[in-house]
Amino acid sequence: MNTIRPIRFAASFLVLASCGSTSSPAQKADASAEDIAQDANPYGKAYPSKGFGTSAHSGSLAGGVFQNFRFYGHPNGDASKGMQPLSMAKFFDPEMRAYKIVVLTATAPWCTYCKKETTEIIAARNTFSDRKIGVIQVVVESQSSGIGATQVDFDNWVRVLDHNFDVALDESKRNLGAFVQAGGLPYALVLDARTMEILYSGVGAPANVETAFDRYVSWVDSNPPTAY
Amino acid sequence: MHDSNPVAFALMASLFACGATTVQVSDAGLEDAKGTSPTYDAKGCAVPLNGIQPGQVCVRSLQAKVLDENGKPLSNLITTACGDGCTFGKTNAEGVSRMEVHRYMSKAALMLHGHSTYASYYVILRSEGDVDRGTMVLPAMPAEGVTIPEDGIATTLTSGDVSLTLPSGVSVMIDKMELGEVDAQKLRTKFVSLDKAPPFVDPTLNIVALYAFTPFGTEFAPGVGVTVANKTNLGPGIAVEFFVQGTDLDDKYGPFGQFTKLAEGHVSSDGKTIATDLGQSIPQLTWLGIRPKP
Repeated sequence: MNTIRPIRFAASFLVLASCGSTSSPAQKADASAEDIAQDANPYGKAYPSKGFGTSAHSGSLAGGVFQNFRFYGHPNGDASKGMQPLSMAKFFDPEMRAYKIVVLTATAPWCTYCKKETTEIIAARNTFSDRKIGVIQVVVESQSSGIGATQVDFDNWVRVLDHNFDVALDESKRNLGAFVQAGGLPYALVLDARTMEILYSGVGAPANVETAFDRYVSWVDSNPPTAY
Repeated sequence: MHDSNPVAFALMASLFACGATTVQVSDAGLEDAKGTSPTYDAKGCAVPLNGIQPGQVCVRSLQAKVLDENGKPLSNLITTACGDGCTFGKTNAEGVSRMEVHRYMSKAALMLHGHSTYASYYVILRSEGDVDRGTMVLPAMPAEGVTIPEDGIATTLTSGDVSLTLPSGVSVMIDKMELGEVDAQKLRTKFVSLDKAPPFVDPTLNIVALYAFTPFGTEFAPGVGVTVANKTNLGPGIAVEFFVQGTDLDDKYGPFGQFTKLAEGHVSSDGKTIATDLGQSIPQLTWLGIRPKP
């Protein structure tokens, strides 16, 4: 029997940024081409449709599957095209072609450690790519009031930091409110990219961003995907 | 293979059992998105992703009361409890902020975010559990500010009794993420009475003059020269030291949150001003304290 490996910091950091905009395609009743595109991963695999939840994997209990939240933001930190659609389907990767785990981190302008963490993620970007760690950061709260983020908060956030990874806005915490209700940031989610199962969910910036999620990559390497 | 931290190992081991295939899971639908209840340990804190690290303290809750210089409660003031993450709070009508933190924190600190309308500062937390930092005073900053040029051209800025000499080629880093409004990014200084000094000003330092600066945490590379009006009893030519509250999480300007000596200077020959010596400079503006050199 294999020794249970300590899980260090390898977790997908899930940064939840939700698109609360009234123009979000998620709000449309009819499926547009964009809607359909955002429901499948880059090679056409449909996003999981069951097992949704908010709990993390624990012992023999599977974690909930993370919903296919949709946001608007800057893919790969590219602001040149303005706000673009960003959905979790991008990271769904049952064949692990690009991702083994996904890290989502929720952030806000008032969060000192979030700023530090962001600069560290930027620096570790190539390392993450090599290890097939997807990253998305989501601005969830406002600076001025501590409530849901606005476009102004997002603009201020990205203006200062030179993002080289996906960064998005969760307007009014529409999508991620259920996760960040505890009031602490950065809020981290780690997902198994094969299934979008939540492997870790909690508050706090890792001591060493570059190696923090290695254990979760190792777990994915050593365990079959959870069946729902 | 075992983790060097047995607690972290045991926790992580319990979370991930190798060899698991199909597992039991409730067929939760979207309706289940009601939020995840965090799991706390015996101390009442959530164990961090990478286990409890040396030096981390468990802060379950943090409370503080904030008054202005006239003793009036400051309401709607943003407060954060930070240490490996931050928890948001806000003072109520009585000036009280109470935050449920439940987190292991290193360099645990309470920050009062004056947002340039008031001063800002950090208060290091030395205890754990349910922490009450008591009552603190936050001075209001002047209504008018001075634009800080970011063109790298040498210049002198004056706000109140304070003049800053920016050297040629200086790089100015204002926290525009928190201070998005242009007016909040302007230089403001405030001479603060020592009886209203924040908790991080150690009385044993013998500080004789104290100033608050906004935009809080602005960094200059290279640093700036500082000249202030001499409002102390220090006579002409007396050597002095300049202290700054460092706010860099990597302790770039001294231990985080502490008042650290960063420069030296002298009282002018006519006794009217106190200035940093040639070759001495201040790299970050937060709070500035001056004392006679021991």
